[in-house]
Amino acid sequence: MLVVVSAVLVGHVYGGLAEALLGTDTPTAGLLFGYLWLLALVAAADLEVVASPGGDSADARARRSVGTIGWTAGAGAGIALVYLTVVLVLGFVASGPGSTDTGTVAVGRIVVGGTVVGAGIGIVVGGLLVACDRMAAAVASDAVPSDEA
Amino acid sequence: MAVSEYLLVRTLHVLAASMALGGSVVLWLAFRVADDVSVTLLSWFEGLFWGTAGLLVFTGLGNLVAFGVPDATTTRGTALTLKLGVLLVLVLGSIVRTFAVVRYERLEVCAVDADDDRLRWLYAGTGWCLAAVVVLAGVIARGL
Repeated sequence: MLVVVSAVLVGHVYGGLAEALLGTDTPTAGLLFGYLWLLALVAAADLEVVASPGGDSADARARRSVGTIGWTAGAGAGIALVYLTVVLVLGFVASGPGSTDTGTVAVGRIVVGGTVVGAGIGIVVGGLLVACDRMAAAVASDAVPSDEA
Repeated sequence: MAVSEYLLVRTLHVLAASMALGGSVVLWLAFRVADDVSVTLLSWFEGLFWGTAGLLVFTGLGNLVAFGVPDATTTRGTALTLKLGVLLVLVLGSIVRTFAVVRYERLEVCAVDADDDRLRWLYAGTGWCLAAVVVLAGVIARGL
């Protein structure tokens, strides 16, 4: 969601959002957004960002942070690879068999480039998640749970 | 009477915004008036919130298709920029809030003390951000 909202904000400020939105009808946009959302949920199901409440050592916390960022970088690349491949291949099929050969290299470039961008976005998102977890730890540690007081 | 898909998109958008705003305000009030707040209730809200937020973003894009994307230099365009900025802040703050609730769950805490100021302010912040989003949505739709 962070990525989608950021992309929409950048598209609006720097232009191109209207063309991108108006070029896609609602059912197609629903499928594209739902598919991306599903991939993100599947990836997030395996992610362990929140550290154990008992408290890790500084070393363990640093290792966990690096592991999280590495994991999100891999997940970002994986999501971009799967998403772009499926979306672009489906687009190919819909556009007719004649365009398959001429567009293959271009699609390949987009998929490879998109995968690299996805990994970069994953690193940024991973860093944000780690920072959010540190803040959540401060929120939860200052509280006095009623059944533990 | 034919009902357009845009009516469905608009309806879902308003319902999702109502659910997120109403839920966060009710939980903020719960922190103010109750002795403690159930972690199960907070967990349910977090699950519903993220589903609702996904629906809000998608139907928001649908509304932009239906009503047109305003130019960024106009009043409506500025309102859209502000709305998306507030939405980003809301998403980041909500990640912190959800992680805090997950920590309570892992501690197997049944209820959070209502004196937990930081968690209370996170729900208050969620409510205020969503209220700002609603006002900005009104500006985008009808202008100042």
